[in-house]
Amino acid sequence: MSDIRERVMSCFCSLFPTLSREALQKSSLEAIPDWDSLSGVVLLAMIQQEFHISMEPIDLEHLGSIQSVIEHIAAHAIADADET
Amino acid sequence: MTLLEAFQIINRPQTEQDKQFRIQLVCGFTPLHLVTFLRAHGQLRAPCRRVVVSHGLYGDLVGNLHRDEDPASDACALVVEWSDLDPRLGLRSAGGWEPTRLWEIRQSVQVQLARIHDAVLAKAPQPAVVVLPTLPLLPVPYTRPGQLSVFEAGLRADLASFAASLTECAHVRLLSGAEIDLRSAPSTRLDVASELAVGFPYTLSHAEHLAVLLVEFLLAHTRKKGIITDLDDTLWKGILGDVGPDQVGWTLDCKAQIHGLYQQMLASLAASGILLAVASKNNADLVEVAFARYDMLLPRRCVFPIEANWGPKSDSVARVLKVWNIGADDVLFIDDSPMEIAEVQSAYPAIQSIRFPKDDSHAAWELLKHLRDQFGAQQIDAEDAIRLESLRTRAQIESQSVSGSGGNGVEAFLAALQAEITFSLCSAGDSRSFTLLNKTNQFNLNGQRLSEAEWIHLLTSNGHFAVKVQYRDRFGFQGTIAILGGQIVHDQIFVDHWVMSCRAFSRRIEHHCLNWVFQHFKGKEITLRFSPTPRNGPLQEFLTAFLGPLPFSSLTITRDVFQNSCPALYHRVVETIA
Repeated sequence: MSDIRERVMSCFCSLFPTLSREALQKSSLEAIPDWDSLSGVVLLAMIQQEFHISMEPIDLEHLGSIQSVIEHIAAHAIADADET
Repeated sequence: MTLLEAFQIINRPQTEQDKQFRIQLVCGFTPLHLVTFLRAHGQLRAPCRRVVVSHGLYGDLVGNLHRDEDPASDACALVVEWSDLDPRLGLRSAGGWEPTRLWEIRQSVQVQLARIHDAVLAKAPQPAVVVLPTLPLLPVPYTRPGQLSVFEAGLRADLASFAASLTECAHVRLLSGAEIDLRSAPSTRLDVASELAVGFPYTLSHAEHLAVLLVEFLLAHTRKKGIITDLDDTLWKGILGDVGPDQVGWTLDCKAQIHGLYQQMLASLAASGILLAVASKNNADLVEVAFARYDMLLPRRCVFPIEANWGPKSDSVARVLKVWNIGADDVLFIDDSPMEIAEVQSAYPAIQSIRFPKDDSHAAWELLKHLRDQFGAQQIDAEDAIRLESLRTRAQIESQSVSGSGGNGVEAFLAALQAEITFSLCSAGDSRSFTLLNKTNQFNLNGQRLSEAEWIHLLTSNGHFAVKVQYRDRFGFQGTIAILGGQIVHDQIFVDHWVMSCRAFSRRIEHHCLNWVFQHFKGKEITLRFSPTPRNGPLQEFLTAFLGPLPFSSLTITRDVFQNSCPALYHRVVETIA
């Protein structure tokens, strides 16, 4: 889980380099400065590349926070491991 | 490269000294990941520059070309897709694909291509790299996809005609569709979901492949300068000393065609100004007999020098580099023997060594492409063809000036050269001057390279000057051998750029250059924006003779100091500047 957290945080930090890690962790997705629909698209593409899971923009909207995104990815990662 | 890696490269800290390289990306789609990969790969290729990419409005490619969001951009990347030529050829439009509309769509495409063509011409002389549609054509025609329809054939003919016209523009580089096909499989390029969702039509992999190729041509390419080649089982099949000059082969009959193709490539490179030399463990006389064969595809005159002896090849390479007066990192060494390659590589780690694939036809094909990639040029001119001859001449001069005539050695020899130096203004279309400025290392005032945009600025700004120096003597015409660039500020002379080809050494042309600056601008002193580099030793040596130990930055030389230390100058000076 900590590995997934670290990798997800890397994605967010690289997309929003001017914000501190702490600020990102506390913020909801929509409250992140410069967050827009294209940021969401880029983030989803990064997540797909890094974790090989597919997410839709609506998933991000429902998740709403970085912590939720981390938990969602972790759950899918466990599900994939179970299937294999 | 993943997106995450691309962003991490983009976000690396940079210093304030890093100059920007500004790319104007012109496209009609949402540029999204293409911008990211352009910036990341641009940064990797030019780590001391900060790559900035600007882009225009969605759906307005021609408008974006005209609009020029970033007037200070160094280069333009124009990426055209089918929907830019007619929206009905894109997934985000529903304008109708009835057969009766096809002729109208084609007419619309022709009109749009003409508009793009005019807009690209209007951007001259700003360098532009152009990509024509890389995505599959939508199933618009009524024929089955496996059959080329009249409609598609017509569209592709229009595109081909447009491409042919663009390739004739000096400031345009059109990316090769064949090369894009090699790097990015056509079936893996289109991302339908992304195109429909946000207007970005490319898969991540295709976006990256395009970005890599664009960056290769947007940023300055340093062409290698020479090839040192082996002979036995490299230039020809067989061992010359064993079978004799008549039995080494390079034809289909001898099952040696790859050697003939290699000779052909070397001859082509020589004609475009690439230096060729031989380093072979062989009998020198036998080598000359082999080169004299009527069916040899590489003319003897294209090769200088030929090092045929039994000593270590690294020693032969050393002598070649000395004659050519260039660094090992500007040279390829090609040999079929891994042992010889290892020996040369250990003496010259910077040299690029390639094992000639004598038993692998496909690898030989790859080698030919690699040679084109290392030595390819946007254009070649008459001066490229005389480069080797001028080196041969210089070697003669140095050998004769040492022996000298009448016991006066160098002075008598220079006086008898019948030399003429011509100073004239550089122009925007003068690719030779721009290339010389950017590839010369040894006699280079500060090692600074200019982008094409910076070169144009130098040529066109008030108070700036850019002068080329051409030279001829009784041994022949050497072409443009030096460039001087700078500015006059309040009657003060500043030389910001000064390069001289190594072919021009030993003739006091550098003295003539300074003398001309003093005479033409009537100044009492010249400030040279000097900076030491690891390779401008010859320039430093020249300046030290006048000024003693050099500072690490700009220096000033007065007319009196120069005239007191300047040796006799024998050449006739011609000036074609008003």
